[in-house]
Formats: sequence, C-alpha cells, structure tokens
Amino acid sequence: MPFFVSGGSKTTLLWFALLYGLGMTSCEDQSVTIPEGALQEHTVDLSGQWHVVQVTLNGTDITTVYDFEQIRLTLNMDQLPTDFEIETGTAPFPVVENGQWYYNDPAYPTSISFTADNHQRSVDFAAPPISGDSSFKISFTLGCPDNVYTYTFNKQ
Amino acid sequence: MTVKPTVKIKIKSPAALLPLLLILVIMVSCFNVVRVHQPSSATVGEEITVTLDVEVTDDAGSTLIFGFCAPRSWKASLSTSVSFTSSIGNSTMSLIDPNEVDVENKRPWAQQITDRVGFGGNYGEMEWIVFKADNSFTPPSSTSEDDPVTGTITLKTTVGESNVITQLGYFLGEADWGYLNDDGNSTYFFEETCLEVSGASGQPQDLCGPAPRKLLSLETYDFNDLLIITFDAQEDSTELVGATDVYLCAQAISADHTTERCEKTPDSKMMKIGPDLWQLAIWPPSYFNIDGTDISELLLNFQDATGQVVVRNVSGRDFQLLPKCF
Repeated sequence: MPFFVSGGSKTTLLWFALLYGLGMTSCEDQSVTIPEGALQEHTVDLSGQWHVVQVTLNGTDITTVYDFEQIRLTLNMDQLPTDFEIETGTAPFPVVENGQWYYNDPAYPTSISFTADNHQRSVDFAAPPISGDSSFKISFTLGCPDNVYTYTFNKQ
Repeated sequence: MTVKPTVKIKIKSPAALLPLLLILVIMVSCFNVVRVHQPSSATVGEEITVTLDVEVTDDAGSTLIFGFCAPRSWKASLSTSVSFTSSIGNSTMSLIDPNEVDVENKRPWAQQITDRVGFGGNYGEMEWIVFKADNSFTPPSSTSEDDPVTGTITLKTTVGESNVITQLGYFLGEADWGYLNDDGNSTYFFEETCLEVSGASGQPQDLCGPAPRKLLSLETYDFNDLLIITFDAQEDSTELVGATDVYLCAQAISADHTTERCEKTPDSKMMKIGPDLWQLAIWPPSYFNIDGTDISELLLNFQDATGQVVVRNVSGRDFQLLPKCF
C-alpha cells in the first residue's frame, strides 16, 4: 500500500492519479527535438571575389585620392578558409602576395590573418562580418601606428 | 586705526628703471648658467657629452630639476644620462615620472617647460625631457650671488641616425618649490651655435632654419604610409601660380642608393583640387619599388609640364620629408 494513502482513501488516490497524469502531460509538452547539427557553430563565409569601395584614413574618407579600385581580393574556402589571391596594382595593402588566410575565431572572428611567403599579417575587422554578406570592413596600419586605414570591400 | 605707510618712488625717465629691473632679475634668479661645453658637430649615432657649469644663488630648495631640449627623432629619453657634482654634494639624476607634477602648478614638468620656454631657435620637431636629482642637498643659508653654490652638470646623449642641424637647450629648476610662475627659481639656456649632425645620406633637416612648408596633413608618418602630398603654388608666390599642369619630381634616399621619379607621367601628375592647389597621393613602396622602411628621406620638387619651371623651398633646396613616427 502506498505510504501516502492514509486510511485507504479512494479520494486521495484519485487526486494523485490526476496530478500524475497532468505532470506527465506537462513533461511531454516541454520536450524539444533538436535537429542534428543545429548547435554546431558555422564558419563565417566570406568566400568570393572582393573589391574596395571605400577607404578612410584616421576616419577621413580618402577613397578618391588614390586608385584603390585596383585592389582585388579573392578569398577561397573549403568549409574553412584556405588560400587567397591578391592584386593591388600600386595601391597600398598589408599583403601583396598570394597565400593562405584564416580567422582568429571561425564562428565569431574579430581578425583575419594572411600568410604569404612565410610572412603573416593580421588585420582587424572594423565591424563583425556577417556570413554570406555582400561586404566587410577591415582596419589596419601600414606605417606609423597612429595612422589607421579602413577598407570596405564589396563582393563582385 | 593704523595707516599702512606707503613709499612713493618718482621715476623721472624710463631709463631710470633699468638698474631697478636689473637688481630684480638678479635677486629672483636662483640659478645661473655660467658656461656650457657642447660640441658643435657630431656623427650620426655618436654619443656626445655636454657639461654645464652652474651656480645656485640662494638656499631655497634642495632637489635639482634638469631639462634637456633635443630633436624628437633622437628619442633622447632612451639614451640620455645626467649627473652633477657640486660644492655641497654629487648625485645622479633620473628621468622624472611623466605624470609627476610640480607643486606650484600641478602640471607635468615637460609640458610646462614646453609651453613656457618653447624650443628656442628650432621651428619644432623638438621635445623636452626632464630629470630629477636622485639626492637632495640644501645649500647653506649663506648662499647668495656673492657666495653661490657651484656645480657642474654632465649630460651624455646619443644623437639620432639622420642628418640634422639643431639648437640644444637646457633647463634648471627646483622640485621642492616647483616651477614658480614668476620664473624666479628657474632658468634656461639654448646654445647659440646649432649642433650639426652628419654622416647619413641625404641633406640635413635644418631645425634651426625656417619652418618647412607643410606638404602632408598627417601629423606622424613613415614611408610605408600613403602620403597625400598637397602643394599650394600661391604659398611663397611660386612660379607655378597659374600653371595648367603640375608634376611631382621625387627622390627616395636610402642607405645605399637614390631612386628618382622625375618623369612626366600620369603617375606623377598632380590633381588640381583648388585654385593653384595641387594634390598627389603616393605609396612609396610601389612608387619607388622600395620597402618604405628602407627609405630614410624623400626629396621633392614641383614642376610644370615642360620641366622648365621648378619650385623648391625658399632656400633653393628640394623639399624634404623625413619619417616622423614618434
């Protein structure tokens, strides 16, 4: 005999059965089915061909003072970043040779690194990149640390 | 009620004020710089020694403050040592904490000296670095103009790696009372003869000369930066006023060679951005095909399309750009 039934009360048993049933129903309602892979973090997708559409130096727009349109950047990915190709013409850019690239954090990157000819150069994203978006923005220095260049790339 | 007695001095002529002013200057002058031994020339990267024979003419204060005005490019705070010997004691001196303020004005010493003393005959590009005595000595109460404490301050510093002509300066003050607003307990001295540092390639930066034309808007730059060169043909009324086209003629000087870009091409053609106002952006690594860190200076002039009209600075030399990455 269950310990909570005193005096063999049928009413008590009935209430218990009712509550138990409600409890079961409630548990079934709260269960969530998570699709396989739904919790996996995805690498931000910046693959594609990019060109420069805006340049600022210390916050001042200098897009028109130089032919920055010469710059073409191709980022290749195979799930993760792989290699890159860069054409700069005479325009300034932190790297001028093709090589490998990667993020500091594949899902939430704050910087992107280019490795070419055993040299590595990291540059910061000026804004968090959005996977599959049509533009991204990076900031870097070329000479003195006070001079910050920000390039906005659009997808071709 | 008591009435404060007043004394009226009747001055008959302004000339009569001179002895009085002289007496005042002598009375409030706590330090005298008697003699400075400073070389008039040096080779790039050489350590030079400067000595100052000084007098202390009253007994107020015990902790010596010493300032040294040198080109910023020397980064003198990294390579300068100071000490003194005197009739009341000897001491080394240490770079003062940049945040340490004087007791009078509650402002950092270097900032105050810069504002109040300036850079002497240099047009700019200088800095004051400040030292404080490691040991304090109180002059005897008998100290006076007639019975001063005498001493010699010795400064050793390494000059920079580029050719420069500069006027060096020195400051004496006292920490216990601070930098009095009437300058009564401090003095400064700029050596009249400018020091010439030579031995590097390229022409010297003449800080003792007139201020150069400002061709770049960037406050700091080196030759890996994008250089946006702006030329105002009306400044100094150059012969390029009214020109229809203006070209940049540039030389990049490095340790072992000079690269010149003086041809009239679309790359060297300046863009007109206003009346007689011309602009051209160059990125030295691609413009000269040299890593910017290998370039020690750029020499520039501006020419018309024929190359017959050439504008250089007022002294007839090319405009000079030196890296300023402080």
